Amino acid sequence: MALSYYVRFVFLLSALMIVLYILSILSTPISFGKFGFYRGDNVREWIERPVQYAGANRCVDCHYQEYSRWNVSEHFGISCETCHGALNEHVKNGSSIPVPSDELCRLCHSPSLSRPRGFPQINPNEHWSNITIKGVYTLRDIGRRFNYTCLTCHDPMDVRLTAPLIPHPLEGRSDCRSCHGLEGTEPFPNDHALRPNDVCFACHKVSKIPQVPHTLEGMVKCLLCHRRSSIVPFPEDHIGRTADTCLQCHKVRGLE
Amino acid sequence: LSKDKVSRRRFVKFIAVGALVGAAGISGVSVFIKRRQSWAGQKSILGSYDWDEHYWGFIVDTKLCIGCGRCVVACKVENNVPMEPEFNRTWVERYVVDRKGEIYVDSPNAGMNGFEDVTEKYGDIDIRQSFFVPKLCNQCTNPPCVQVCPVGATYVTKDGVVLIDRERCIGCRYCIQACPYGARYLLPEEHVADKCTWCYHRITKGLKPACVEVCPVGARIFGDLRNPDGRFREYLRTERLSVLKPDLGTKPKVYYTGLIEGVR
Repeated sequence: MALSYYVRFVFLLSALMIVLYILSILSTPISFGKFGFYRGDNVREWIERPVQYAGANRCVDCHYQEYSRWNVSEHFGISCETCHGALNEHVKNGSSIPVPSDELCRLCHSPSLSRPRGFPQINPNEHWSNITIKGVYTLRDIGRRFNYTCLTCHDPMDVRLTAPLIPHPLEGRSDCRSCHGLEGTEPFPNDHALRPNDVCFACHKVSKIPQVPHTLEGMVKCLLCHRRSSIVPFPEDHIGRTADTCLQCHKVRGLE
Repeated sequence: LSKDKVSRRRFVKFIAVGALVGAAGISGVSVFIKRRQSWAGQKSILGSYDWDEHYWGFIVDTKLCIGCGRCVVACKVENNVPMEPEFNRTWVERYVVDRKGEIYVDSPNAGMNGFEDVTEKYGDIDIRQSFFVPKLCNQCTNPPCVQVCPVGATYVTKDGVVLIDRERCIGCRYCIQACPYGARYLLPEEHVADKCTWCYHRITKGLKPACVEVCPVGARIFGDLRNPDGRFREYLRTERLSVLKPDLGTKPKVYYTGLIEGVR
């Protein structure tokens, strides 16, 4: 009789264990425990999540002009998406992207003791305040007056000042507007209309005129040697000039 | 003789239970075999990515960090992290050391809006030194968070990244408590734990993590410890790398350069 109870107990217990085992199989995800103590399918789920940041390599496919500017600039190496934000949507459907503002420049370039030594930091209150116009205004004041932003002078794709150089000697002239206006001789761009005469030289530097690297030894007819097709040819815009004007601008080295 | 006789009731019971158990057993075994078969090619579920070929690592050069917080923003956008400052997969801390060696740490909005000049907040302190330290999940080789998870919802992949299974996570927060680096947080909507995955969906496609992609000064360097190349290799070879809280034995795979003793 006691044996019968024992047999029945063992029988029921094993039945229970089998049922529980089956239940545990049914309730455990298929992929659980295949790689480790976790659901293997979850790895695939993470891999399949969508990408938002496309990477700068994608940008160059269309924006090769911007790319070539950026390529030689101080900002080279900084990803497009650092300033322009996530661009995968834009790559897919050409949706518009936000244009960076001054605020963004300041995130990196505002002065801070915590930033590494040598990192370019600009204090907007001191920037250009050491250059005075007519002894009264600083360039900073003028910038404030006309709501200059960082981007007024700096191209973020090439942050070096890239304003065109003045191609002629000034010879004492300081009033650019007496010759240059919105129309006429070498007109300046529309967005320059409000800028006063005084700030021209902040961005536009006078180009250096190459010196004559050799002694003249009595040679005065430059055009005998220098032609469009000769060694050291002169630039396109010099065509038509005569030999007697050369030395007015191009000084012989060491004579000055 | 009557003792050996089996009553009708008992016979029927025996047959019924036996049939039930037998059927259950057979169906269980068949289900088991079926599942086994559907998972015959285990690694193939990962697509073309072979996780046996990689073992990822991360280097943070704190000497380069300018605290612009682009990494924090990029991380939030890339991974759908809530924009509120208390939810972060990565964040930037500012350390300030005064003349006595006292250390102050702050991270306004996790650094995602950059930092004011240090004198704005610590004007009354005689500052000896200040620098930024970007933080993220250290993807420990011995992760305490994985050890404590009661439901197997967090785990280490073969390529060394600690991931969280949002389907299995029950939101008990045990892992958040266990992480000595404060790298985990609870997603407010889904109510599951979340943390940095080194952008697992990006690195398995050959891309860099979003924070590494956008860092303008290259303070974050990502690479493969199994096959290091480029800047990552250069850093491994030439820089003196350290990890956060090495005494805990967690063996992080985020390596730092330029730390001082008080950075934890």
